[in-house]
This record gives sequence, structure tokens and C-alpha cells, in this order.
Amino acid sequence: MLRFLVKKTLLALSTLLAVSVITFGMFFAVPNNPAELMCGDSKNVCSPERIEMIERRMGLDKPIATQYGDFMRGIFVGRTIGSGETARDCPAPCLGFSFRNDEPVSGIVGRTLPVTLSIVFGAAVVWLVLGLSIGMVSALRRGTVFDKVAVGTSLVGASMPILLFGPLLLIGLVYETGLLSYPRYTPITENPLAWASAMILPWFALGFLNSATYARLARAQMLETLSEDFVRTARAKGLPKIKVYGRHALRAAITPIITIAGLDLGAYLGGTVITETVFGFTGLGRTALNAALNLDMPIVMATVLLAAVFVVAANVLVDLLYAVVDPRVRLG
Amino acid sequence: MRPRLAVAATSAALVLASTALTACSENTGDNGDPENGGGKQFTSSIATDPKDSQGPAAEVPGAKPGGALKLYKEEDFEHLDPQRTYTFLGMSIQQMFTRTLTVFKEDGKGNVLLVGDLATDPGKDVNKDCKTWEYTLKEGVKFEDGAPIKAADVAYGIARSFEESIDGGPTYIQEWLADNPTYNATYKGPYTSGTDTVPGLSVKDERTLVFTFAKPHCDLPFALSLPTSVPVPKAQDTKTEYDRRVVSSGPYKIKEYVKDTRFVLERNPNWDPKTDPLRHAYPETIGVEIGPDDTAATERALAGQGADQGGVAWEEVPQSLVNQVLGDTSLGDRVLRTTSPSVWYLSINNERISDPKVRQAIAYAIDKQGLLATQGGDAAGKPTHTLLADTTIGQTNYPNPYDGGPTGNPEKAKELLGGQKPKLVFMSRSSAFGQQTAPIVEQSLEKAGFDVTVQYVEDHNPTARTRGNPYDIYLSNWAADWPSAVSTIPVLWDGRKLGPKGNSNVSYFNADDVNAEIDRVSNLPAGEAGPEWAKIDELIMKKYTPVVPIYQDNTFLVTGAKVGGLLISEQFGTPVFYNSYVKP
Amino acid sequence: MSEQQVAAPVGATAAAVGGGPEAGGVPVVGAKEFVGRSPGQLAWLRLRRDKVALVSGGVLIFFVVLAAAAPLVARLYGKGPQERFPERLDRNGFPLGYAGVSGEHWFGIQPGIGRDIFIQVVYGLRTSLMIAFIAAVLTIALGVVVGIVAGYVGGWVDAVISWVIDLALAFPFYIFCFALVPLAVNQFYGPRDEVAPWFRPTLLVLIFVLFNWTISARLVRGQVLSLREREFVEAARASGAGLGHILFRQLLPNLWAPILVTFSLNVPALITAEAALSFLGIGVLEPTPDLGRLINDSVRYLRDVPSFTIVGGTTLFLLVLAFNLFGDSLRDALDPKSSR
Repeated sequence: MLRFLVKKTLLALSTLLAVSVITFGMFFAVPNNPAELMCGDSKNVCSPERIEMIERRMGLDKPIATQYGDFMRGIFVGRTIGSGETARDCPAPCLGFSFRNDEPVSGIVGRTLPVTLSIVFGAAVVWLVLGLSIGMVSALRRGTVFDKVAVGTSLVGASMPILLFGPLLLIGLVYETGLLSYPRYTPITENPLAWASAMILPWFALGFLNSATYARLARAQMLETLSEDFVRTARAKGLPKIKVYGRHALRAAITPIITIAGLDLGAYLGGTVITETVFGFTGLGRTALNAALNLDMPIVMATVLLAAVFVVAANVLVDLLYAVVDPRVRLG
Repeated sequence: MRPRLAVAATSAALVLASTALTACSENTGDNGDPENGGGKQFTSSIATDPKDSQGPAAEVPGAKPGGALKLYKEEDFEHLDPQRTYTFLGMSIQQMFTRTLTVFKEDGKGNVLLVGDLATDPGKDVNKDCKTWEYTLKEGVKFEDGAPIKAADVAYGIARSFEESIDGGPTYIQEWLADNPTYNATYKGPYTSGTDTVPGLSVKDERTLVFTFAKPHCDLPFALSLPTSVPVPKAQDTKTEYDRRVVSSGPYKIKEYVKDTRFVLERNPNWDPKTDPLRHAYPETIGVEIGPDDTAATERALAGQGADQGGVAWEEVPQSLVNQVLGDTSLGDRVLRTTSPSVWYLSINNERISDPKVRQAIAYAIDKQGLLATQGGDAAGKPTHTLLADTTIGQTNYPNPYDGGPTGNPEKAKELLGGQKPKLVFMSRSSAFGQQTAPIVEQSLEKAGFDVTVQYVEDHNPTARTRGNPYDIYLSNWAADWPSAVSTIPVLWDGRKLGPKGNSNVSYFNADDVNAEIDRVSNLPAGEAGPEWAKIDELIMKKYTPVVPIYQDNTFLVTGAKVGGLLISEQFGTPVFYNSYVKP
Repeated sequence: MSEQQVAAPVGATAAAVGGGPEAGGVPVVGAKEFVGRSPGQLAWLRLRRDKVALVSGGVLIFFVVLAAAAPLVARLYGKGPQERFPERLDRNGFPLGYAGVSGEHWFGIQPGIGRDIFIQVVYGLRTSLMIAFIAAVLTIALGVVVGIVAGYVGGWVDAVISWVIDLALAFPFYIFCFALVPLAVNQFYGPRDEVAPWFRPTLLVLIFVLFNWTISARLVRGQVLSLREREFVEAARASGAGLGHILFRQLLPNLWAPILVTFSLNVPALITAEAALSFLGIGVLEPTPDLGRLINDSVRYLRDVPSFTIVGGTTLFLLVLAFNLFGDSLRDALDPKSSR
């Protein structure tokens, strides 16, 4: 077990390292100098000295390898960005400093990550509960009207892009009928009720559309497991239905679902760009997107890394869970 | 899986549901009045009676204190630091928590009066030559911490605007004081130069400030209404950090500012309404919610759920909702529509397209009506052919020298081109606006025989402002900073001001006769200059055609049912909040 | 549909894998059948008996033909995708009459710009399908080659490939698109060069392949891992067959079923992803017609120009739904054991 963990973690770390190197290299190759961009937009006459000053402030005058080293060190021990008059102290974990926003990146991430977390975890609950229950009931009631309607709805859901479904929900439930109010993010620490009510729409939209995949998967898995010998044996032994399906069959069926759910969660945590855009949230995804457009490299760097951490961590976790849920899997 | 029927039924239900949401009605084309919100006559003047500058402002009929005013805006303000604020939306909110030496007072009927705000009057032209101006501060004006506002605080604000790191704001006063477009050549601001004393600006005593210029600048009272003249207490100047926490001098102070999320103002107890000729502080709080785009903002204000009833869609009505808004007569005065001072041009890079005939051909060919239709047609603005907006003092609507009609005249353009097929590289934004407008520009020019290449870029501004950029044409807009042509003609058309970067004159136009005319008219007394500026407008367009004016914007927005007293400033072309209140 | 296109097919693929390693079709032969038929024939037979497959297949063929014949359709219809009809708009840029629908304009006029909606949809379909199809083919091809090699050769090759797959999966897709697209355009074109109309779609295809091959590679690798210990592979190895022969003659034929299923489920995921990129403003740009951008425009007009939303939205929805249904049927036909 320990060996497995160490090996997985080392692999994961090497992946993250590669992600950071590639991202850094790629944005260094951007032909437009961000310092020039920052300078040129002001009405002031932009002198070469001023460009140089901004470059110094952003640390762009150093060689790329040094810049990369500074960045990585900052994450663990913190650092001072720039020098002299405009130097900024950036304590660990320092993800860099956005000069465009005039703010440390950790502050920006700290503000936008909770939005994305709120969306994703809530939606994940919706899609798992909805998907699993529909899938299981469909499997047990195979061939009935319920099965057909459920499977049909889930297929329709799986075919609806959120960029179409989201605005339709907004028009139908908010603008025209007023059944819900327009989602407005409130931190959960401030007012849990307002937080939840703002999240209903994105939870539902993302959750419903995703539940389709899970319902289909759960149904297929359930059917497969139900036909296996151990379930038939258990039933023949006279164990109550609920115990057989709830404990034995579900447990066997859930393993691949955990895999998918873990990977999906990991991927979504890096930002739900479209959901955020459709419902007007400023989450990690939209922030990252705007940053990429404005060549705000520190933010891009931080968000890419963060997203990668989520994906990689989800991978490791899924492997671990696998072992816990399915005793047949041996780690080594 | 056998989902046949279920799939069919669910899909049908979805389609039906979306159809049910839509009221199918015939569009006969008579929505919206042809008045175009522009039926008003605009008069702008400087107050001569000092009483106009005294507070308190007359009560707004029906207004009650209390409530929360909400404003919806898609993107955060570029800056809150007053010396760095240079967007009309920024200035409009800035007005609620900071004060300037002078301020525009509007009645919503087209009358714009410049009065003293912190100053007792709009300014004293000491020698009647517009070279020496004296300002006296009112008594009893205070910062949010109760400290009195002194002349030195105003001077310090102006001084820090010279600083390179305090960039982004207007530069009129700096340029006039330094008598040089590169205003920070000698004095570089308090952080860099180590002194707060700006050459030409002297603090006579605690309440008196004197401006001394080398050349006459009769528009100083107007220029001081820009937030450059907002007082900043030196002890609390946090340099670039000041952008997050501004010390208030107005009726509200900053309660909360979460970048890209929300900006909330609460009442400032140290603001004395008796000193303020303009502002009220009716709402308990003014909150800006950052994030909703134009569609969301407008839809929310229209639907008016809960707190949205006190909401203002600060983003304008998008084209897609124009007929929804205009077709709903029950909205009444919740719909605000007026002419804005902002004019859209098709800028031509004159250093690349040097043949005036080619530029005239572009002017003939362009389909102004088609461009306007993508933004909401009549509701969004009106086609124009003058450089100056019709809100400018003295503007004349001279006959269009190269009139291709509302949709362009490709034949006439072809004739001018005489068989040539010039290549034009059009730089367009990749935003929705850019993608809606680019095909129209491309098509109307290609019909006239041009060879057009469209290049989409994320943000065209920095490139367009760089001299020697490789593009031929781009859409740009300009809104005058105050109603006189001084904030348009010398800024955009004086070619001697061209620098390598950050140019406002994005068509890189430079003509000696125009420059000489600008010098002549600049020296005229303020009262006589108006029509003379309009003559320069006509001269530039007739002789050189450096740009093609396309249309003048309308400001067009909706509010929630409980918003009262909202005024769209003719000056800013955006709502101002000094009279607004929330109905209980 | 999931938001990030990379994750979208994961579930579907896993469902295919969930059918067990036997999904390859090898062991199915002749349990209850009396007539000797190949697995392919059997699958075809089952597919033909499946009404859902027939209907969804029919819808797909209709869309593909419509898209392929777009220039012909435009010729017959008498209007091109770039043609504008400003005289059919009111003063505020809205279509006159009932959403502008008439005998001349079957589905009405696009507000603002004033183009014919029907021909926009046809050409938009063409763009979307072309990008999705090519990207899916390339994705699968790359994934299969890499997957077979990794699964069969094993050892450090497998370890390296698996690591690269993990790496590719760790990159956030959209942020990279935003950063990559302008970068690539600047790399190949100067500011005054006309960007060729095929350049952006090609770029999108490449980006999709770059982010998407991992899924089919993973799937194929898993399949190969279980197949490589089978008797027929061992027999081939024992009789001295070369590596190429074993990989592509022995293993590949047994992988067609999962590959086909992945393909048919990959295409709709790519169509949605392409639409999403256009929605965010980095996909295909004006004046190239595009379904995603069209829908994004249309939703806002739902109440004034409903035909716009319904036509565009229904087309995209039906297209994706038909692909999903057909993919399901295909899986059922190829692998009768799963999910039934």
C-alpha cells in the first residue's frame, strides 16, 4: 500500500512538473510583450524606459529559466516580486503577482475558486444522486415505462449542450416566469441560504446534463452485475432484495462510476467556463480565460497548475478508492 | 435500451416549451419612435451666478431616503483611483464618492450647466486672458475621516497624476501646465521628483489654488470637472494601491470592493449636503454587481425579481432585446434613451492610405445603416458624417461632402477608384461586436472594388494606438470629455501630438493647415470658438477625409420598477446617480 | 453533455469497456445460431432490426448529405451564406413579418446582420460536421496506434506513453485553446496576410486531436492488454509472426467494435465542443458560418425571432442526439451482452 502510494505520488509530481514547464515555455513564446501591452493602452506616451520599468516590475527582464525558478520557489517559500520602489512582497504559497489587476494571484484564486467549487460539488451531488438512482431503478425495472422514460430523458439530456440549455433555463425560469431569481454568488460563510439559492440553476443545469452519462453507466453496470452468479446466489439463498441490490450489486457496480466521477470532478474543478459564462459567475474558469486573453501570465500559470493538481489528485484518489470499494483490486 | 417514444416525447416537449415561451406576433416595423431620443436641444454653458454653485441641491420631487440601489455591469471598473479614471462609467460612479473642483449639473432636459463643486464657482479668469485661473474652495468640505479638504489636497491629486505609475487618466491639465504633450518631461510627479510642487500650480492659501499657463486655456473650468482634480490626502496616498481604497470626499464612501465581483458604497457621514450643489444621497447603499452581461442585466431589470426592482442595467439594451423593450409600453419611464456624445468612426490609417481619393471612396462605399442595424438600428444611434457629436457646442451639420447615402454607394466609390483595386487590411475585434460589424464593412467595401482582408484580434486598441501599425482600417470611437470641441478636435486631429504609442489620433492624420487653424481657434475666447471649431471639422472632412464617421451612439437602458430620479447625463452618455432614489 | 469535451466521452467509453474484455466480438460466434455467420454479419443483422438505429442513422445521413451538398442547396435555394437582405429588417434590425419567414426565406431572416437563416444553418452544419468528423477520425487513428503499441509492447514504452496520457489529461482544455489559437495564427500569418479560410478549422481539428487522443488510446491499451495473452496471439507469436503483423493483423481486427463505438460517441462530443469554442469566441470566426455561433446568437432572440432559436437549436440537438442514439445501437449490435 505504502509503496503504491509513494509511486503514484511521485508519478503525479512528475506530471505536474511537466505541466508547469510546458505552460511556462508556451507563454514565454507569446510574441506580444505583455509589458508593451500594459504600456500601450495608457494615454501617456509610452517611452522605452517605461516599458523597461514595467518589465523590471514584472520580472520579465530575467532569463526564462530564472523566471521559472523564481516562480516555483515562490510557491513553497514565498518571494519578493520586482525591486525597489514597486517591489511587492508575496508570501508562500506565492502564485505570482498580477500586475494587470495589481493584486497577488493567490488573492484572485482565493476569491474565484470557491465559486467554482460551489458549482462543481453541488452539481456533482445532483448528477450522482440523479444518475445513480435513475440508472438503478431503470435496471431493476427493466423494460417498464419508467425505464424507457428515464433512459430517453437521459439521452436527451446528454445531447443538450449547456450553452443552449442554460439560456433556455434562464429565460424560462427567471426572466419570463420569475420562478427563480437570477443567480448571484454569495459566499457560503456569509449566508448559506443565499449561497444555495444562487446555485440552484447552475447545479441543476450542469447536474442534469451530466446525470445522463451516469444514469446510462449505472444502468449498464447494474444489469451486468445482476446477471452475475454471486447476486443470483444471494437471491437464491433468500437474502432480502434490498440487501442484495443495495449491498452486493451496487458495490460491484459502483467501481467504474467512481472512476468517471473522480475524473469528471478533477476536470471540472479546473474551471467550468461555460457554466460560469452562461450564469454570469466569476469563477476560476472565467478568470483563467480572461487572463489568457489578456496575456496575464501569472494568472494563467496559476490556474493551469491548479487545474492540473485537481486532475492528478483525482486520479490518485480514484486509484485508492478503487482498492477500498472493490476488494478484487490489489495494489502493487 | 429502447428509448424511442420517450426520446421523441421529451424532445417534442422541449421544443414545445421553448415555443410556448415565445409569443408569436407579426413585426410590422413600426416599433420605436423615429424621434430617436434625440429630439432635444442641447445647451451647455458655464454658470455665471455663484448661487448655482451653492448647496444644497433642490430636493427631487417624490424622492425618499433609504433602500439599496443596484447597478449591473459586466466588467469591473478599469480604475477607482480618481487620477486614473477615464471612462464615463468610472467617472459616473466616481462622482458619488469623490468631488472635483467643478462639476456638470444637468436637468435631464438637455440643459447642462458647469458649476463649482469643491470650488465656490467654476473659476476666476484673473486677467481675462485664460492664462491665470483662481479657484477658492468652499468652507466645510471634508474627507470621510472628517479632515477638512484643503487646496493642497487638490494640488497633490493633480501632482500625482504626473506620475508614470499613476497612468490611464486624462492628461489635459498636465499637458497645459507643462505646455508640452510629453507632460512629464521635467516634473515627474511627487514620488519620482520628490516634490509636491507642480510648476504653474500654486497653493495661495489653505483654500485658494492658482493655475498659470503659458498659453490661454479657456476650457480649464471644463477640464477640472474630470477626476484629475479630485483631492487626495497625501498622508493616505498608497500610490498604485490607492486604486482599491480611495479616501472619500463625496456623499458616499467605499464599504466593500471585491475585484470582479462587487463594489458597494455606503453613506459618508462627513459629507455636508449644504456644500454640494449637485448630489443627494437618497439610497442607503449603492452596490455595483459585476458579472452580468448586457442581456442578463437588461433581462433582470425588466423582470424585476426582488432586489432587482431597485436595479439599473448599466449595460445597455442589446440589439436582441430592443424590440422587447420598445414594444412594452407598460415600462414607461423605466426606459431611458438619449443621445450620447460618443461617435463611431471607421478610422483610416492615413500613413498607409495616403491617397485622399481612396479615403473618399471608402466614405462613399460604407454601409452605415447596415452597421447600425447590427447594434440595434435606430434604437442604438443615428448615422452621422461629422467629426463632432451633435452635443458639442457650435457643432454644425454641414452637407456630407462624400455622401453615399445610408447604405453606401459602391458605384460612386468605384468611379473614384478608377479601376484600382486597393488592398485594405481591416483590424477588427474578435468580440461579438467585432464579428457582427466586420462582415458588413468587408462586404460594402468589396462591393466598391476594394480587396479587403479582415484580421480579428482580441483587443485592437493598443495596436491601433501604435504609430506605424500594419493595419489600414479599424473601427474606433471617441466621446468628448466635455461639451466643447476642445476635447475632440485638438486631441484627435492635431498631428503634432503624434507619438510612437498611446495615440488618440489613430488615423495618424497630420496637416499643417489644420494644425494652424487649431492654434488660431485655441486662442479665441470661449464664447466665439464654437462655430470656428465646427469649420475645422468641415475642413478636415472635405479636404482630407481621414476617417469616416459612422454613427453617433444612443444611451439606451432600462431600470427596475422601484428606481426613481435616474438621469442619463448628456455629458457622459451614461446614467448619473446624484438624483436617484429607491421607491419604498 | 459534459462541459469539457475531454471528459464527455469518458463515461460512454467506460460503458463500452464495461461490457468486459470480450467485447471484441471474437467469442460470440454461433452459440444459438444454426447458420454460420461472421460476427460482423451478425452485428449488421442486429443493427438492421433495430428501429432506433434505422431512424437515427437516417437522420444522420440526411444531415451529412445536406452538409455535403451545401453549395448545391444554396444554388437551388437561390441564396448564398453571405448574402444579406437588409430590406427585410425593421429600423431596429429585426426581421419584418413573422420572424421574416416567407416562401423566399423558409426559416426567416437572421436579426441584425440580415442573412437567410436556412442557408446559414446548412453551411453551419457543414463546418461543424467537417471539423468533428475529421477530428474524430484523426483522434481515433492516433489513439489506436498509440494504444496498441503501449498495450502490446508494454514495459517502459507503456510506462512512458501512460505518463504522456496522464500529462495530456492534466491540461485544462479551454484555457489552452485561448492561448494557443492566437499564438498559432501569429506563427503562420503576418498581420497583413489573409488568413486562409481553412486555417482556423484545421487548427481546431489539431487542438481537438491533441487533447482527445488520450481517451481512445487508453481504451485500446486496456483492450490490448487483455487480448495479448490470448491463444490466437500466442499462436501467431509462436509461428514467428513479426510485430507489425501481430499488432495490425491479429490485434486490430478484434478492436473494431470498441473503436466504432468510441468514434460514434466521439463525434457528437466534438460537435458540442466546437460549438462551445465558438460560444466563447475562439472557434470559427465570421464570416465562416458555424452552428455553435449561430445558436449562441439565436438564444437571445428566443422571444422575438423564435424560428431562429428553434431551427438552430433543434438542428444541433437532433444532430447530437442522433449520433448518441446511433452510437448506443451500434454498441448493442456489436456487443449483445452489454446493457441488455
